[in-house]
Amino acid sequence: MNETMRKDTDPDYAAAVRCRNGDVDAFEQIVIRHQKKMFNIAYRMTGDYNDAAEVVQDAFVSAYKNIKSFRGGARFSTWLYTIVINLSRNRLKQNKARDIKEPISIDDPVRTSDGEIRQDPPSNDVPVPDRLQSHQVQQRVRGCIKSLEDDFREVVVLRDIQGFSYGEICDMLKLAEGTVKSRLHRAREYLRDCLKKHLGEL
Amino acid sequence: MDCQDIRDKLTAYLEDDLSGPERSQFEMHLQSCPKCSLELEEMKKTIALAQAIEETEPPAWLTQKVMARVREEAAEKKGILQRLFFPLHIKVPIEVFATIAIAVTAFYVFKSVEPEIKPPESITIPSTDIQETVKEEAVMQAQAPAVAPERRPAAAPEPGKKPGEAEGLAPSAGKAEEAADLAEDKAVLRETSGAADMRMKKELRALAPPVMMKAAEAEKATMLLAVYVKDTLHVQEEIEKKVETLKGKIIRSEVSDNKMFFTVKLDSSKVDEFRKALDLLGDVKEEEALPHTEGEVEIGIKVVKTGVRLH
Repeated sequence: MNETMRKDTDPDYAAAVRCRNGDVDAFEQIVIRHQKKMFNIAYRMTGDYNDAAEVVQDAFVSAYKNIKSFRGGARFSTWLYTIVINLSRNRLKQNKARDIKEPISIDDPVRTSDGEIRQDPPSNDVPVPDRLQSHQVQQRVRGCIKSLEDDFREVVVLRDIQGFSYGEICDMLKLAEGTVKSRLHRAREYLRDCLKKHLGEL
Repeated sequence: MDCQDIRDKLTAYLEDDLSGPERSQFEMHLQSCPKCSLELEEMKKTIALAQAIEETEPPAWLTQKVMARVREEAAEKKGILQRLFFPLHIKVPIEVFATIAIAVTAFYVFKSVEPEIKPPESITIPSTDIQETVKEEAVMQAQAPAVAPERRPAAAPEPGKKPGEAEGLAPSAGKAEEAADLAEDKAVLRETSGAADMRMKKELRALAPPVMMKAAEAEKATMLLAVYVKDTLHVQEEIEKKVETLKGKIIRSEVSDNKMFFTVKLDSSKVDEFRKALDLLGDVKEEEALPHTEGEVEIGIKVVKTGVRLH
């Protein structure tokens, strides 16, 4: 897509150009517009509220520093989300390296910001649809998503939670569409199995 | 299509990624296979559960914190830019200032050293002036009545030989000749011209070789005068007064009945005026001439009482 078309279709394009010319206030508009989505991507990917807050800050600062490298090849938001995804991935790697240095017992319950999920027994109380909005169900769903492997979690977060199109996901993850599709399929299977395990019958 | 195919294509089906024929095959199988239908339902619910995850509000301070860091970054970026462009825009003036500073310093250094480097020049220039005045004086004296008779007889016979031209040529030709001759015959003139001669001698002595002068200057410029007076009564007072008005200093004074000796320190520019003042007191003879110099000089004054004024 060329730049003229971008101008019309990308609501952030004008602000991005102003940022590129040193307008810090224009960048603030971008931050306000995208911080929630960026935060949620980071939160779902890292599974930790504080990590997510740090990752988002770093992502915005990095975006500001490298704003000149945004050439309008994709939507500005896609470019921003790519940064937050990459930083989230890095944060996960760092956390894993840290966890290896400070090993925890495999018998310990998995500590998440949403609480401990692994030791909860499956519950068959109420049919799932009625419980969709319940806090507890959400907690377990989040726990399952968190338990996915990084590659699978990414696609579920971007496709099912954030609702990005295949094309956008391919741009952000720098993956071929076929890879995204097959990953998404396998990720959903894992997620389904995890949910069945923790929520009982779906 | 068997059950495994259906399982593999669940996502493709839900994402509407199947071609027309595939889709109808898929749906046909589902109708006849409750197990696969259940799998599809489970998958739909799984996606629904994931989609149902509510968005979490980011911390309220996030925007502020991000912008604080961004503004910091912006300021730093400016700093880097300034550092990058300082050499281009500011260094030039700095170099100019440096060059000017060096040039000015060099000029003053050279200026303060110059007199020591080229003393001959500073002395030869005034000395030619003096030679000029000597010549002029010589000419003036030559035209004076006392000298004229000596020269006239030589010039006189010429107009006599050529009566026609005599009146027209005599004044100009004669004068030119006189000027030239007299310049050559300075020695003769000096002997005959009394007081003026004295001054000329002084000035000629002032023309002594520059190297000598330099030495004299380095030690202490001194001059020795002898003043012959009829009466010593007010001489000391007069000298003291004059020295004071000329902002000089009497370093030493010896006074006896008919002889006095003073050593006076004076600025060299005041020497001539001092000399004139002494001339009013009596006859002044220069026993030791003052080198051509600048700055303070010492003048020794010998006051001698005589019955008769010289000359």
